[in-house]
Amino acid sequence: MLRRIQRLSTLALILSPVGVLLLAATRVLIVADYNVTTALAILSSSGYINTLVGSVIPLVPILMPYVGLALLYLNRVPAALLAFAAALLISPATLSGASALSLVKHDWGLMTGGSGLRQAVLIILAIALSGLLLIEIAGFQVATVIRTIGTVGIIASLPLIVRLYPVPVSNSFYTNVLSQPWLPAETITLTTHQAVTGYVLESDQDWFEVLLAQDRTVVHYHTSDVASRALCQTASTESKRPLVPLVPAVSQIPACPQPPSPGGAPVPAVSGPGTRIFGVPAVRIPPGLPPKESGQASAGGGR
Amino acid sequence: MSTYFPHASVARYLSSQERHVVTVRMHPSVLIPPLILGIGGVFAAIAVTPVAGDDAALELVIWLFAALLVAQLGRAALRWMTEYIVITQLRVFRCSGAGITSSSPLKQVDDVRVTRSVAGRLLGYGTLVFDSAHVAIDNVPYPYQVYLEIYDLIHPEAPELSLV
Repeated sequence: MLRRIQRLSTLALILSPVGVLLLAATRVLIVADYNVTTALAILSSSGYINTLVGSVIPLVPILMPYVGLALLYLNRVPAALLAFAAALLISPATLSGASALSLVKHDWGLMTGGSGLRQAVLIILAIALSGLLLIEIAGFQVATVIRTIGTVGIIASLPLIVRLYPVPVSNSFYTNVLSQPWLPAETITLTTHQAVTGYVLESDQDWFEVLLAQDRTVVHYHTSDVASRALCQTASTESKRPLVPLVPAVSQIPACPQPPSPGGAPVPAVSGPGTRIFGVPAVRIPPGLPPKESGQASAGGGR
Repeated sequence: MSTYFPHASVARYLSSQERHVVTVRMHPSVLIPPLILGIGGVFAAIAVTPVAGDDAALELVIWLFAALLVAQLGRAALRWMTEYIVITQLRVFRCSGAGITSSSPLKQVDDVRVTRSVAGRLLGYGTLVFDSAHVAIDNVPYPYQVYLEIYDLIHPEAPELSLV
């Protein structure tokens, strides 16, 4: 009981304003490439609720099937069923529904095949299991029976779930997810035909406040200098279809342009006309000047 | 059924004024759910191992999970071996290697009932319910005998019994 109370206290601390604030601050600092001024600029435009929600959303579809398995193990059957239903609808699957069915049939063939000894052991265990399960059904609570079936079902379904919903194992995936802002990436084309990739933090009738994707600098573009804006998706946000897609159409969001390789031409985004670097008040850089190194946002107020 | 010379692990909890009446272990039916999980885990692991194919990590996870379920069975068996339900003329308590896990003084108990599920009737266990103390002890072996011992302690002068 005491241990349970301690666990609840830890959970309450994480969910308390102090915990939420710490999580949000950590996330914003990662997104801002550990620059405090850039982080402050992002926070002034968004807010920590957006920060938190944006941190969780990319992980939800990927981890949902495993959340369902964990809930099933913890005997939270209704919640586990909801998690599995959500996984069918939102989690990116490596196979279509028909292919998954044929995979199940193929797996069944493998499970029922094998050597005679293996089959004999399986039959003996199955008979013992059936007898004990009948006793459990007759004399124990329904929750106990469901937990038993669910736990054995976890092991039985694990190979299928791992192949349908593979967990990214490389560290780069998680660092990408953490370092990507919660805003959609956009390709912003300036009137000088220069295209930059960034995240629009805030916009009004005169200025766009943009967090550049490449170097995490906050810059401001005058609206008159922006020719067009288009959503794009970075590699880490490209998604596969779920097993049961509710919307048949596949979205055609183009991939974001790749940043130039090191040693190549510097990104011209911050040197365009009407551009000002965050922290440098109202600097208009006339067209025709050579590109200027952007660097990190300097200390100081807003625009 | 009655152990008039209690086991050493029980005797340490008895005061010099306490008269020991009954000591019983929980009925072995408490081991049925972990036993099913252990057998089911091994069964499922053997069944799906060919499906895991060349994925050694997946195979390891499957067998670790099955081993966890078998370990839970071992833990439950160990707990069953060391846990006792003890009745004295003063109280009913449950003790294990970790100490007294629950206790109810008999002077707070006005009456006691015994109930048995279908599996309890088949396997020979029941539940003792102390309504006035809001306490119930599940998986009691020899439920009627234990019930009668407690009833005698609560109502030493009452000649009539009511078995539910």
